[in-house]
Amino acid sequence: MKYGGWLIAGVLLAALLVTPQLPFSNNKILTILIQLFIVAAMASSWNILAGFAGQVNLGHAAFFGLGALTTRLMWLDGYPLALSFVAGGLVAALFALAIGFPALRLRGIYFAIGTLALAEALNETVSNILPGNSALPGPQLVSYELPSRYYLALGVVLVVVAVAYWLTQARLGLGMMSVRENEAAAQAIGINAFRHKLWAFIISAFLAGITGSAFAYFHVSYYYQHTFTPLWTFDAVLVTFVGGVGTVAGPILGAIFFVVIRDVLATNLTNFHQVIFGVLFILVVLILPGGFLELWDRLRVRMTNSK
Amino acid sequence: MLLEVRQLTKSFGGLLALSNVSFTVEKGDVVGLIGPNGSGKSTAFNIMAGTFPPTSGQVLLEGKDITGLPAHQVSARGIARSFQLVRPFLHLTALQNVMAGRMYGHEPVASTHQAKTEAMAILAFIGLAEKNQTKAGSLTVMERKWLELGRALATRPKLLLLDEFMAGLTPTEVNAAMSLIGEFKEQGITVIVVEHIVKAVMNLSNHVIVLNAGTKIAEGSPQEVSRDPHVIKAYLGERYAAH
Repeated sequence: MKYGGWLIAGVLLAALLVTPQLPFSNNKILTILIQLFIVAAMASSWNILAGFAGQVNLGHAAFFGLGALTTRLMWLDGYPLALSFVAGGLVAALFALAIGFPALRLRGIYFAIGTLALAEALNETVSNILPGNSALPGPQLVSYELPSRYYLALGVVLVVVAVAYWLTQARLGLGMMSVRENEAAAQAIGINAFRHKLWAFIISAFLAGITGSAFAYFHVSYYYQHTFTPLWTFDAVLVTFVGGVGTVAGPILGAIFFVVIRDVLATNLTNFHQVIFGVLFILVVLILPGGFLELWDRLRVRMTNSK
Repeated sequence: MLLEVRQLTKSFGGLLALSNVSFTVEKGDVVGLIGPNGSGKSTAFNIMAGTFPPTSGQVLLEGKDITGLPAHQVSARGIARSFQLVRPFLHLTALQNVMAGRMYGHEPVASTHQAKTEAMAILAFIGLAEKNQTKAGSLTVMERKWLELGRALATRPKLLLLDEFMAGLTPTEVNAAMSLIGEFKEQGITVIVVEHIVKAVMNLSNHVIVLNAGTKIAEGSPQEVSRDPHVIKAYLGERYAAH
């Protein structure tokens, strides 16, 4: 990354860190930002498996749901928040490890369909076992305040982005991208393709799990099943593709765009943002496979060439 | 003896692609593996590279049995390969392509920094130093071939398998490729070339193995092999073999 990129990231981070302390900060702003962090973290974690290792997982919601469920149940049961939080990530990662062995033997579209089916099975199971609503009990409700939720969600998105950035610099990430580019060629230079895909799956699931944990800590009341619905997967997929798949900044850019569009439009037209994102998704796939980031790169190349 | 292949047999369903083929490769050799279409040279190549296991027989590298090991473990033992249809990592830069080879394979380095330095040296050797930041997808076919070779070399192989490396090259490029392979010899890398272009193999190799219909029909120096009646028959037909 160039110095300009680090500078922008640093300023942005400082601004986000002080936001809850600013005089004009209110619950609406914090809520929108928390939602932004959750969407960004989901997209970026999905991108680690799909964008870096090339395996399109359409069951990402399962890991978000498992993280949320674990953390919510443990935390409301009286376990310390930190422990409940980490447990959310670990349960999601263990589930990825367990289903990774059979699922990652499937390739391409079959892996996508397989993971979608597994996640839907889990979604149905949860809705049968826990059909009810999870509302915060009295004591937690009385002490509820947004800044701590804000900082936890911000922490999660920072961890996810840091891991994604680290992967672009590390041997493990280079191995994953080699597998994405050409599995046979990667194997031929000594890369164990299956192991790299499994690591990407576990890391991606752990990060989606802790994103779910942040959601469980944030929401006052929600149906248990809500965190397992496929919408969590598809939002992450759309956001990543629109922003730029396989990049660190892409999912973040896409998430900002997504949340802004959603909140601007939600006041006038409910759920209209999904139509807009659906159309954008098709346009991006057809004419701009690299998403917004590619558009930016193309413009920059054009500008330097015209000089 | 670097490589020993013992009674390699491979059948695909009812088709016997390779039948009882044995040969040895000495350290520092450039061995040419030739034969007409369907002679089994690609099958032999793929078994040595770990793409699939043989039906029976053994492959020994420095006396150790590597038969049936998966491709990534074969690479870790010190056998690198090129692909007939080049497969560089298109969305990665030339530098990343070679770095991937340097950080995995045989004798990998753990440090990204060191891998980068050594990968740059390899890029310089194959003449792509100035394109180190270019995505492989933007390189010409010729440059991609060179890059794939660089990526294979970066794994520090004891044995390099080249699958129809000359195919599709212009005569000038074939000469460039031959002088490059000549340099491998000086670096102590043993090479097996599978080729259609017999002339290139004859100039390059010090030892030639000829396969036909899944069996070994001749073996020896290029001069010996080119005079062998079995070889002439396999390539040119009965009429020419009589002389």
